[in-house]
Amino acid sequence: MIDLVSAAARFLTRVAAVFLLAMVAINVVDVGLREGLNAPIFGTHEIVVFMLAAVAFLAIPEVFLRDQHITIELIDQVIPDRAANWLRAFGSLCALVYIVLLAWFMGQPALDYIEFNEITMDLQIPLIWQAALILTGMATAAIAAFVLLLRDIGRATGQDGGRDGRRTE
Amino acid sequence: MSPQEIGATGVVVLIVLTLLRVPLGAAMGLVGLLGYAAIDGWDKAFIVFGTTPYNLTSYSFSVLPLFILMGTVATRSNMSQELFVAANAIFAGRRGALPMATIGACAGFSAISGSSLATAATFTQIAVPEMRRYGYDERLATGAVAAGGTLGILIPPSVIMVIYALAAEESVPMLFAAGMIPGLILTLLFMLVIWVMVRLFPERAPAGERMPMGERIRAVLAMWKLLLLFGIAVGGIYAGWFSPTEAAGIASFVAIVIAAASRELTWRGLYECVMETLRTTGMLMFIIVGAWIFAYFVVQTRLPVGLIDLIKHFDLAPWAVIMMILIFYIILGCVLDAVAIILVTVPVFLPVATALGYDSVWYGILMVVVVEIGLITPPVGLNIFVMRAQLPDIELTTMFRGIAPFLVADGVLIALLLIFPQIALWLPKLLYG
Repeated sequence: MIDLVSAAARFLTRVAAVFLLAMVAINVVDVGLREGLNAPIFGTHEIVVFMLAAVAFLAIPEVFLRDQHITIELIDQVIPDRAANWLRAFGSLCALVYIVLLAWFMGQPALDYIEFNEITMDLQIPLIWQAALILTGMATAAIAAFVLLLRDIGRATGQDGGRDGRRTE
Repeated sequence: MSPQEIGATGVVVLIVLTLLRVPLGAAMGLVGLLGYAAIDGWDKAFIVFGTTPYNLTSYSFSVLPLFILMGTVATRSNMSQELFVAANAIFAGRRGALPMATIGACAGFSAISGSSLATAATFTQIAVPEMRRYGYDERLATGAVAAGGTLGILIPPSVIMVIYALAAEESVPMLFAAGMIPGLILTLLFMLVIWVMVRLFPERAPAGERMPMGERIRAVLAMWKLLLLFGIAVGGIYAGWFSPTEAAGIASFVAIVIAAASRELTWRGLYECVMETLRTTGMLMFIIVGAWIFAYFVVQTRLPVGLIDLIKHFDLAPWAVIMMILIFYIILGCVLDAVAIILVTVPVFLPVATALGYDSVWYGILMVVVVEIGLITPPVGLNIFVMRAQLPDIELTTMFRGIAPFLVADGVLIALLLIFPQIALWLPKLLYG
């Protein structure tokens, strides 16, 4: 399961990479055309915002799998390893609860985008496309958070078996 | 419970959760959701909760991944080494030349990396081995790198300033302009600290080798890459040519082109830079989503209004309030990292500071200076831990002792900013009126 989730997370990060490089490119081309030919690309802001949805959210699952979230590891240093492992599992559980709730309640606004056929002003891009990218990132992050929790529980109970998906690349 | 009591409880629960190792973004998001629900009911809380990530996908946020990409490429492409050589050429021959060169190179690198950790990590690899080779005291060597690293978040472009600007709904160009003079002053103050240390303890810094003038000029001219990137990223914004997002996008592109043309960046290297950028952005967005949910909750609690009432009740002078906030930040800096401090405290303290008549741009700069102290003080001095990971043979206590004199410089800058706010506000007012 870890392998499958890791592969999915890596795939999403690579999709985000394409969007990031495209974001660089569109800014360069837009400024070049604007300053050089006085002919900027129409709707650049909306395109950049659409790309940002992928760039900002599609890498979150990998952040979970690599355990790269900002955490304060102050108590870890003064309690026994076993207790620190349980603390880590508690943190992962809270993160799982949060991300599952978030992904779930993001569903309704996304359905509203479809129902009311909401689109952007200039290019008339359906907002659901943008929402779909964000939701994909969050839903996959929820699965990644579940994997992380299982791994942390395994470590806390001593059943880890040495299989550690953290920092997989 | 009144909304303000719920707010105060929420802040305490947030601190407890973060100390219990709950990821910061999740802790802020959960506290924000529960607190909002306690005040306004679950239905409204879930609406705010579910719509926040969509609301954050706005044009102003697009500057973040692009500046991170520029810094990542600059960090990987050896520009730091050239900067160190150039800075060393300027100070060559003086006692304490290498630590001073380290501070100068860190200041220059800050102008393209935007990250304190990246600056500290890079110069740990470049400057510390060099200083050890010439027999510099380890305290002075590590102290200079750790302190120099903090310039990364003060000298523009700075990722932390962008995060503050987003949280405070302030202008990124104004903040970048405001950070420029304090950044230069802190650079000079750090150099002054080294000069004083070298005078007091000459045995800690051997006399440096002299360098012929021609060699010096060649080394300094090699800084053109830095000047070009800085000119695009910051100069382009001030000249009115680009928006911050455009400047970041073009500067990223130019950084990639320069690095590739200098054969410092392979396809594999570019791939790794992009992946690193995306993971950093993902990590920041996860926190920012939580921080925004928490901020909505803080607004509902009217906690800042309560604090302002309390200040009026005790008839406290504005400067005394700012001093109390600063002390609170320094304590907070001992347990939270810079991003966390800014995102957790801006919704609570910024309205207080502005109600007292302080400028939000000035307050942002003051905050950045204070949180950078947290990067080099125990127990969560991230810069120190990054350095320690690369220098396992140097004790943490040696590093913390080395950094102590540089904290005086930070204190002096804070005092200067409090007494003369124009240090931060003059340039943005000049540029933007």
